[in-house]
Amino acid sequence: MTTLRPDAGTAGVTRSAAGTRGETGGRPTVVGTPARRREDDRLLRGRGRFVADLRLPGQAQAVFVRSTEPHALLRAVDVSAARGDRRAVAVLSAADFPGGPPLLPSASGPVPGLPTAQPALATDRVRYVGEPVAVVVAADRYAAEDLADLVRVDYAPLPVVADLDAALRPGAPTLHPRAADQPGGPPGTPARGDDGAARDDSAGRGSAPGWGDNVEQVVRAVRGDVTAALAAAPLTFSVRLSIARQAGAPMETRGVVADWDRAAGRLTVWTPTQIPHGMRDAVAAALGLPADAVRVVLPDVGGAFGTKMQPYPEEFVVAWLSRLLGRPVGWVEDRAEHTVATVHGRDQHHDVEVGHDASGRILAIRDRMASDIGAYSFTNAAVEAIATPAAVPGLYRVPAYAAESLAVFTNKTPAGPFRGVGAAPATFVMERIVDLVAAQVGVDPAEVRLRNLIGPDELPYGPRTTLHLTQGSMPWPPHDSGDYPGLLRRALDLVGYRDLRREQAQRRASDPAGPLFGVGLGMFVEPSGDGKPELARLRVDEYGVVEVAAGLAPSGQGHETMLAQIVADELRIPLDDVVVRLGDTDRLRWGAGTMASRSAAVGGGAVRLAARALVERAVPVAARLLGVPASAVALTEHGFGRTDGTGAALDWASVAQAAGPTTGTGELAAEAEFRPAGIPFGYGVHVSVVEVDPGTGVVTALRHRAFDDCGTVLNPMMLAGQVHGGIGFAIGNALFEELPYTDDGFPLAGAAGYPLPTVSSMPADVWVAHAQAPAPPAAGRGGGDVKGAGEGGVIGGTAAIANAVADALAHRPGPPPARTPARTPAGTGAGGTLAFPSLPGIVGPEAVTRIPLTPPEVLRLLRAQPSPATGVPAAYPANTPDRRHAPNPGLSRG
Amino acid sequence: MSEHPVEVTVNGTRHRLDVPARLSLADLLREHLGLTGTHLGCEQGRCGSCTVLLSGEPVRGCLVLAVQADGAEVTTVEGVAADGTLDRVQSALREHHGLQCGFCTPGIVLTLRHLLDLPAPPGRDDLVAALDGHLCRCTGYVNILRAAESLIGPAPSERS
Repeated sequence: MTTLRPDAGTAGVTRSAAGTRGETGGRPTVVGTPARRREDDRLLRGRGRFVADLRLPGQAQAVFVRSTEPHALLRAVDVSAARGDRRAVAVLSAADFPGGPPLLPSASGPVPGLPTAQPALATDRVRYVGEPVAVVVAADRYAAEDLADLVRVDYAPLPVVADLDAALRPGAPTLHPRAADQPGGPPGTPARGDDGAARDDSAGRGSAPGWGDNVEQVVRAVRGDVTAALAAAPLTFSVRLSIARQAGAPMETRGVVADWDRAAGRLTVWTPTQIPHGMRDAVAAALGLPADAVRVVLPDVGGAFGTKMQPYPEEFVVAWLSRLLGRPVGWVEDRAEHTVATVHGRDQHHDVEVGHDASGRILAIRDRMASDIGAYSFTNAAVEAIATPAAVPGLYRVPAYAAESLAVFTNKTPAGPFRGVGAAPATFVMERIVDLVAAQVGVDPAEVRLRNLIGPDELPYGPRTTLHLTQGSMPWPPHDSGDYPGLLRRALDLVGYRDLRREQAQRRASDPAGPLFGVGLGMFVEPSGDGKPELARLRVDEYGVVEVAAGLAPSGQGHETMLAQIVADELRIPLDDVVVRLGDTDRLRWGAGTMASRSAAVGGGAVRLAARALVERAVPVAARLLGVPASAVALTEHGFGRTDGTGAALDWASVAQAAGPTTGTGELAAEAEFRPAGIPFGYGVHVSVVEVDPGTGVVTALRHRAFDDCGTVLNPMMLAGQVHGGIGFAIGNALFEELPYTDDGFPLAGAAGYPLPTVSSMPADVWVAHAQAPAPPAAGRGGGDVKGAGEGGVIGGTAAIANAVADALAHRPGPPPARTPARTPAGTGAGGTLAFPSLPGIVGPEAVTRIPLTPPEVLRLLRAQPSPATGVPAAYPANTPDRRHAPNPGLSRG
Repeated sequence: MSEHPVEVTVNGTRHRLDVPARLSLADLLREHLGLTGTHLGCEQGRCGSCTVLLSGEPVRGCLVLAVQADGAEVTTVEGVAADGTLDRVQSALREHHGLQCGFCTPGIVLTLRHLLDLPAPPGRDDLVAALDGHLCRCTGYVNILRAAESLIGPAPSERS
């Protein structure tokens, strides 16, 4: 472990090398320096160009008519009044699409043939409030909104499935009745028959849902023999942990402008998306066009966070309209629409059984989880259900583990990814488990972590978990490199953990009626990318300007700056000589896009490889000009010169001119694909310090410390910005963000707004630092030990804040809760060298088991009575029956 | 729909237009004058992205009707660096990495610009109170606040 480097993430704070031009092997580099962002000038002047800013000549504006019912048959969609208005350019419902409106694709692998895909406009049934039913086009949006009010929709309401418990209850109404029950049957007829019994729970592989219930798919993750390990564990407990429905909520909503070129037979689509090439292919398929007849262009994007990672009905319909009308058509989502029309995330229950020993070593975890994916097999609806199960054990050994994850339909807006998908809920669950184990055995949570963390000598760790998806089984990739306990120890030192515990004890003694003080830890791994490759292309013009194209699609991260830094170093040229052009599908054959913390690690790797290929192409040209063999050419900051240092050097412009199409061998350009050999796992620990007002239940985050190892730091300023932003998400996710629905399926957030953090929600004191443990040889990493860092802030931060609140509640006045007598002296377990004092812990129904920890939730916990201690059975009952439909009593001793 | 004459000076340029009574000031700026730096994030007065200065006071462009701006002077983000170089608020945001996607940034620039132009210099609490009216989903506000603090005098205790 190299030293933890307090990060100089901002200007004027240059306490480390990060504030100066870096040095590598004696030559200056810009990688590793806080280069100011090239994106900023236009954005600060109001010259950014977002999709809502585009106005093509003749552009009409579309407005969607959306379902006001959570579940209903569509008796009639009457567009005649709207169509009759002289301002109407077009008014369409599903009936106006020959052969029906295009279906949204699904990437999540539901059962083939199961008709659970969403049509771009509702056909015979609506399944969530906000589902597009019709579209109205006028010259401007004011007129289009007037006309939308004239569309009459006749609904016949159906029974509503409002949440996970309702969806999984035997006899629940089904959102997607099996074919035999179509069409319609009597509304609301329970369409069950084969039930969940059709699924073979012992098969150990992902299985198909029956058609008679609301389960879209089942995903399993298996490591070792969890049944035997639970049976053999000296201590066990079970608990239900829950995460509310939440959302990415970027400041810029979605939008699209489509322009059909009748002469060329080509469609251009401007839309803020994380997947330009994926969007191109999806729109082309929806319109029955070849992919090369569609060009997707990325405007400036006002935040995405996963919400813009899939096509939506509106892009298909607006593209269709442009072709139909032969003119450009635009649509911009408004904020009220956004809360019901853009994917939600999280919304999970985890029924967890944990086996551990008296020293706090975790021996086995079984997790039966369910994710509310909303109403359809929307593109990435099941991503949280798929990405969570294998991620739960995180950076702990957990020798035996099994998860069964149900993706469940309800009458809500379809789900999808948002920042920390899978990893954030998994980490909340695991970090709560660790703290509950610590409470059970009476050992400090930090110490329990040290006893369970995978050691540096155990890396690479895995593959140990097998993930069973409907498409087949795959090993969960091994954790590659790092020093998890080393980072935790350094972090504990740097935050003064011992002093914090002392402060806590003093406060409790001196001011028992005052605010409750809590300290929480959140440790996480952050997979960088999902294994997909990325493509980059570099070209040098005759002036020596290097143009970079890559498949990435930024939404505020600073890709233009980050990639320019890499290229400047590789080509030994000034930053200003690099132009980065991203998000135009005509510039690059394909690209995966920006998601899953992959852009720096994978996209940056592709750009680095392309730059090296460009140098390889340039060297022979330079050699010819210099009159020496290629082996005698060296690239320095002066350009291409002789290795012996004699003579003048040639700049890139001269080489490009000599290579040019008219004078030489062709354009000086190079393309490279980077296919990562594995998935680099970033990791880290967050420490949160909070105060809880025992009278109001209000949580105030006082301090937040983040320590991570994301390998080589490309730009410490932007890296800190990513972590800060993640901490902002964590504050909201842990303390108040929620998309509530009524019991009959109506969203409440549309009117009330989705609660986002403001500046005063943030801890006054935020501190970020980075470490870099030695990594294995750089092979397969694009020549750089770069790991992702875009999501760690929310992944680790949310868990740390939740644990801090739990810790504060455990330190409420009064006698400490009774606890199991099973204890071991601190410091006796594996890795246990820190002798922290034992702490009171809460293990009963008053334990923190759900986020967000809103004031009412905190007050509920404060008023709950500590549960009396009970004896701990020596063994957990083996082969517990499927509790999928059983209400969970909350945390109870097994 | 009846139209109403409006005379408004935007970033020093006078405009006379006939506009519908229901047209918002933000849409006047964006749709009629082509000043798209004023961003609409919520159209409910919540996010603050559309903040502009109306006769020197910050207002939500989405909650003010264009007709209410009749006879007034309006400053938008496009008018802040009128002479070409970034204003010190803009420079501070750039130096401190106080923006990422930049969607909320124009409103924040104008709010801070207004605070700095007040006769009494703002304190840290004033900054927090004013910035509480702006939503940002990218930065966690950490560097926005640091940028703002850098504008009100000696640097606060050094943090990293």
